[in-house]
Amino acid sequence: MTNLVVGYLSLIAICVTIYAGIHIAVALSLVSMLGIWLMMGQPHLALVFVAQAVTESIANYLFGVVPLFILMGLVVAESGMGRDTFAVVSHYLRGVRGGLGVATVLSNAIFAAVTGISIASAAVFARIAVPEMVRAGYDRRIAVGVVAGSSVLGMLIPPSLLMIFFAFLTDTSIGDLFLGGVGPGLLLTAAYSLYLLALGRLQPHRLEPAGKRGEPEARPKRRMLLPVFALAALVLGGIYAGFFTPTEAGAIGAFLAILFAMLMRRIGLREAWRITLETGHITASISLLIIGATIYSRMLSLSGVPASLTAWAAGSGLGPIGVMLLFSLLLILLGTILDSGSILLVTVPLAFPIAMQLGIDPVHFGLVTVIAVEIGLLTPPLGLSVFVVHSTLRDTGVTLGEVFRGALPFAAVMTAVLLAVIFYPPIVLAIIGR
Amino acid sequence: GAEFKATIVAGHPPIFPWVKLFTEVMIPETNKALEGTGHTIVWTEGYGGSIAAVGGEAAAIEDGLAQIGTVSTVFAPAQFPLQNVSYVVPFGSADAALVLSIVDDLHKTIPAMRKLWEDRNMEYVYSAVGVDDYVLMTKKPLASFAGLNGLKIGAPGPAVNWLKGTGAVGVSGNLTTYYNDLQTGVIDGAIVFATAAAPAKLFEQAKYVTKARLGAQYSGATIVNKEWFDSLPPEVKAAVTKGLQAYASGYMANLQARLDAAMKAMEAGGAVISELPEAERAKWAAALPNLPMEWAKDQDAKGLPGTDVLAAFLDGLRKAGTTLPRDWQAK
Amino acid sequence: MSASGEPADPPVEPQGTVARCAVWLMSAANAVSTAWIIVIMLLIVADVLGRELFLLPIVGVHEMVGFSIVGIVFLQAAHANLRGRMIRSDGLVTSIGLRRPRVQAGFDLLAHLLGAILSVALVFAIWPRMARAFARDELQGIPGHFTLPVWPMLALIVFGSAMLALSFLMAALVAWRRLRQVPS
Ligand code: NA
Ligand code: NA
Repeated sequence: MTNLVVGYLSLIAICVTIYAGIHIAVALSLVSMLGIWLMMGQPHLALVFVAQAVTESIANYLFGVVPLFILMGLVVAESGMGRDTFAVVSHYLRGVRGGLGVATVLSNAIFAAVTGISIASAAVFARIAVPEMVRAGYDRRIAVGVVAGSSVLGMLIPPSLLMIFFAFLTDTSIGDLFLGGVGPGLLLTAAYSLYLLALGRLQPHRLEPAGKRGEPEARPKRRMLLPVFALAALVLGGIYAGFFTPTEAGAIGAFLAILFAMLMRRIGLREAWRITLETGHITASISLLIIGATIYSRMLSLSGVPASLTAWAAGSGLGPIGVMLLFSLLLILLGTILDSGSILLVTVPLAFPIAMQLGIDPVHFGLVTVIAVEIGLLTPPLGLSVFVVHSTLRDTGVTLGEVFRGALPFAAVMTAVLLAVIFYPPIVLAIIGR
Repeated sequence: GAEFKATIVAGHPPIFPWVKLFTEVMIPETNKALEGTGHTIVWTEGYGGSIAAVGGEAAAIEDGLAQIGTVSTVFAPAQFPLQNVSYVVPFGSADAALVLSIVDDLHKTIPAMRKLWEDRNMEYVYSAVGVDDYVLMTKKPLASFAGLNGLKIGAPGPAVNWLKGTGAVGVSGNLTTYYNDLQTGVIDGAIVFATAAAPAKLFEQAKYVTKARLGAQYSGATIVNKEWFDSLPPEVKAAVTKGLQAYASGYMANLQARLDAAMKAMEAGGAVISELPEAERAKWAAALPNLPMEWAKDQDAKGLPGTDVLAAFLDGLRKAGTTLPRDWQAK
Repeated sequence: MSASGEPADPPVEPQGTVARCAVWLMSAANAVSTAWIIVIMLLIVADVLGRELFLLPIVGVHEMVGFSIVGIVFLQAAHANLRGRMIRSDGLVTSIGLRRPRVQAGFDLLAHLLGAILSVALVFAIWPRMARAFARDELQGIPGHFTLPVWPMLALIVFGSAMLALSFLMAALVAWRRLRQVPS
């Protein structure tokens, strides 16, 4: 059996084991070990190979800040900053049909500037915005759909954990990726808002039936936005003023978020510890996945599969656009069963060399990848944002299917934005002057 | 004839000349030398971290995961301390070919140099990999040594020690972070070598290139797994040696051409290239702690011939007519 | 991102003395790991402030953070697994399980056993490197600037993998009991 055959067979083996419910990190590692054994002919080399990959995969500074970005996201979620943002924004949009939906989207866009993970956004706004919208008479399916849909902004508008992963895998500049996310993030915010306003015109009965328009009890104070804006300004401002690097921003952001939350008396020491513990759990599960993916991508690249695919793509006459369309399709398909981190880890080492060969800008390619992967947050059977919204609202009787159906139109809007980004790179690149 | 398997490892990706040459020169030359012997080698190439990361190549070769490869000794200074002698002598020579040949000669004259490889199941075949003369790239012009004071300078690995006592502070980093860090102002400049700085377009952010002649460096070696090499029939061994020799001469042949091209590319991109005056260079060297002697004593204490290696290295430089800005061995 | 919003598996409840001791050990490691996250946060903040305000960065922060993340992950892994947080895609198996619960229990058993096999393989893969690094006093970092011994990081991986194997075996035991109890 040639190395190439082993490589292609491993792709099938990975699909089968993951569908069989084997833990993804375990599936990736064991299949790779088997592959190395077949390729090198000696079983003990599989162990040496794994030892080499495990000790080298996560032990570095860039990866070391991942828990800090997660910690920051969880702290801002717990501290009520999302709730405050939503209260103020929805107050100003109360006269508009579909205004509460638009307020959810805009609040998410603002909140995204202080969190790098989408689950934080999903959990926060499921708790705050859904009850408000339901009270105002929204079709519940739309209410949960808006929340799930706009939670993807959390990882599209900087800072973003997915972009850190992409930078980590491809040696692309995190600062450029962060900036590159601003354009698509704003575009998606606008597209969601337009969709909701259009819906308010076309199917008003599903949004705010006449006479049931929600009247907020008290006028929220604008200064409630201050902590969010201050945190965003300090973190993003600090990066682009050269006070610290995008990598260091995780530590600064987490530290400031905890400080703010404690000063606002929103969390105490006990909560801070609990949130950090939760951070540790998420970090461990993501990191083991990264280790598995490192082992797998090394095995795959040794087998020659990426090189053969690159040669195929270069010779197919597909061109940059064709390759990006094909790759996005693959990511969306994988997004039905895999979580976004795993998809990135499994596919990027394969696809990135092809993209570079075709002369695609690494930041443009990074954003196309991140958006396509994030569509998977909304699609069944495994859609993480949908899961989070559902598990947050489970006691209200919302079913999982209801959330998935509600999120589908938003996945469609995302796909449209993805196409716009593929065909018109300046959406990403204009801001970094490329 | 028999079929042999050989895996090649390099932590760097094949955009670097010392990696590319495996595919372009080493493999075809070895295959050609094997013609008529009836033997063949099935090659597997593992570059850019597909087997080992930069600095991890030695472990991969030692354990038999790869049979041939480039070991970046500069990123494994604790395992290959003697091979890093050029890095502890700043302001050595700007001539990479000279530095490489001196350190290669040390492998012949000082057995402890080879022993470091052999203790790790590796055979040193002549094939050194080097880095061209380190330069300083800064956002503002640097006319004098005093200009370093208060600057934050990105410095790779052992080069952070070259900033001790200068008033500048070394910030750990690498080529992938420098561009951004310069752009945002986290660093004011970086110590880099031209053939890497040019493709990374650092001159767009730090256009003042000061040739302080910090020195070209011996940064790694191409190595074979000893157990595997010893097990080969003589004719295959000869073919592999021939392939490696072709690789080494291919690498040396273009060293200067690559450097000239990089300098030209930076200049065309708007870089302002200048030399640091000799007197300023001497001030810098004088401000440093005695890095070479400190290092040599450390090695001696570990039972390695640090003082001998340093003396032989400095001798090699002087013999080639290099003037050093400071007598490191002065009592 | 990860399946963090929703545990993939139900938490494993300890039964028997051995299991209780194991859980105690995993919880202790979990606490160390949690504190460690706070430590690296403060370390990086101090490094940034020192560098920007006083031109005095903390020596070796990059090396320490790289070492720390390995410690954080491997001390936390077993506990995260115990809480059902290891990421898997069990949608298909769960939907089969609605009608054929024994099939689901069988797949769960398989998944946990494979997890245990991998964890044990990690112990055997890293151990020789740890022993070697210890015997040779191997260092990482830059001599004359900042160095750290290599072996403690490898020891943490070995220790964490052994605990992870234990947690997978405990989960396998639960799946095995389900397989035996559920009528087919
Ligand atoms: Na964000
Ligand atoms: Na999905």
